[in-house]
Amino acid sequence: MAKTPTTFESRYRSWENKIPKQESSPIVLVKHIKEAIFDNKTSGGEEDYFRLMRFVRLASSRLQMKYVMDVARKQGTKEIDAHIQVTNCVYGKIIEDHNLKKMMVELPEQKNHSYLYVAIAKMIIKCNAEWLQQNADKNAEAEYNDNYKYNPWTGDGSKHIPRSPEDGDDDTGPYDDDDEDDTSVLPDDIEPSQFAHFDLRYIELLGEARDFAQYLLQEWDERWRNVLCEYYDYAGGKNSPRLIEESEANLHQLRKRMRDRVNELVDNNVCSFEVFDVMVKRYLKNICQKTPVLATYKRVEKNTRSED
Amino acid sequence: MEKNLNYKEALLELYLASIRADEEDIFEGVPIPESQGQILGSFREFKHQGQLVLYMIGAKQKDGSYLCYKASLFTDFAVSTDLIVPGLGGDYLVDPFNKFILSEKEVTAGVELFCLSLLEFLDFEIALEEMPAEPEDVFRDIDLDSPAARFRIQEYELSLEFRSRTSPDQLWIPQLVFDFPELEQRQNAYAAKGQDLMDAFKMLKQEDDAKKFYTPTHTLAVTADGKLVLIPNEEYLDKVCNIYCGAFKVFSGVPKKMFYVGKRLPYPLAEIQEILNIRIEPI
Repeated sequence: MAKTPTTFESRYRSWENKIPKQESSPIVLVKHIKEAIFDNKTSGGEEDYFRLMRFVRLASSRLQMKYVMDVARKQGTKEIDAHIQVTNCVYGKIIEDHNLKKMMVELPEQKNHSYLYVAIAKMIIKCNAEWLQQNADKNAEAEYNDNYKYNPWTGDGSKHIPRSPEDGDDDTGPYDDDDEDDTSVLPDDIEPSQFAHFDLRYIELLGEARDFAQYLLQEWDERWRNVLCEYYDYAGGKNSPRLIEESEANLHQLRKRMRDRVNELVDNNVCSFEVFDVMVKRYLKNICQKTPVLATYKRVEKNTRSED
Repeated sequence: MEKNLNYKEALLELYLASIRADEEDIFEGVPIPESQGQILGSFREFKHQGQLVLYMIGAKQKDGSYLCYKASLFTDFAVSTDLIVPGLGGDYLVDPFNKFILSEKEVTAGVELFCLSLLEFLDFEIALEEMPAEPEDVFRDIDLDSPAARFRIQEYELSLEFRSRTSPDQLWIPQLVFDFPELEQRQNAYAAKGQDLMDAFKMLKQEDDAKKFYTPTHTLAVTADGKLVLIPNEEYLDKVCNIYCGAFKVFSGVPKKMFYVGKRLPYPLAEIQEILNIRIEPI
């Protein structure tokens, strides 16, 4: 009777050798990954992690992985460790990306597999780049001009459009420079149950967004709803009948002021950016149907005053 | 543990590998969801001549086409004129000066990766509004051969065909954007000759007298307001052509009657032609 392999690497290699060919194709692997991470349908054991590792290897084009492995070899890191570190990073990104989770909830089954495939492929590129950032020699950077340097966290250098605070800013993977040990880079077992909480949180969000939509209809002046709806049309690539008598410069100013008003709502805890986003996706169309089309901002201001 | 690899060099190699489309593309024909109602702020990717072009839709034009900005996952190559936005799996770089038009059909053929939220897109537009109309001189101290320059040149090359479609007034010429040793050498050569103010005056006077330089394929000229322009020979105006500056292809399509090359350089036009080695080749 064959002995069960004891090291993580040997268990992975053994699994890789045993898995039937039809089960190791990227699209089948991604279905399993979805079941493990989002659907709470698997046991969350080592095999789920092996599938993610295998997917990382396959979806990362050979050349991309080659550069990570080249650096790993030159700096004396075992290839399997580099592979695990990149996989951990990808896993971290999958579970941290709120938009991906929302897509998994909102999309029909046949579409969310393909979307997950594309999404993970991009995350792999990001993780390969982050791996290089942490492991290749950065001393040579000094030779470059200050303009070239960019700090995404402080916003130094390039202009940084922040994400909603609820989404968090930490997009590094679950490993860091200290994770050098063979075993310390291994993840905990995947715990699918945490995604059940996400479903609950999403349901809560929908409720909060519905309440906020009600608030906008009752409390927000229709002039400002009109500005919001005009921008909604514009971002949807539609020719909006709203604010057509305003100049481009005025429109820009109105949109900026509307943005400031949203900040005020968030500052006053009327809503969060996350709730605002869900409101836009779920209820703004309906709000706009109930908001009169106003060709200018000023004329309405007069009407509103006379009504007052 | 030895860490002897240059990070930026390794990152550049990774970038170059990441834009190469796989031969066996399993994304092909895979239905990808459209964002719900919002098109502007959508990040998409399509395959073009074996490479992946990632871009963000920035505006809808009156004729139904879309103004798009070149985007990339490689934010470590960002400069101060780039905009960094949150996206799938991390931040993305958007170059507001690397822009082009795509038809509605082309846009819908692309794979949508994600879309900025309405507020994020508004923030992007507000930041864009604050950008200078002309790109700042952010690349001047970056060597033409450095990973940063090679990344940027590749990004402009990926969008070249689409930028050329609308026949931009201005050509994006790497030798004039980045630190180009050839230009410096020429400058030093003039300095070495002990060029004084009178020599400089004579040189400028000579250029005043010769505001045009003819080559077999085009003319270099200086406009009344001191701009350096490239005028293709008439025979090329109805043909699809490539315009090269040295090793770099800077235009691909049917040429305009005139292209703006850049600010006037302090050399005679013949020297500029020699340094840049501009040529037009019909396809």
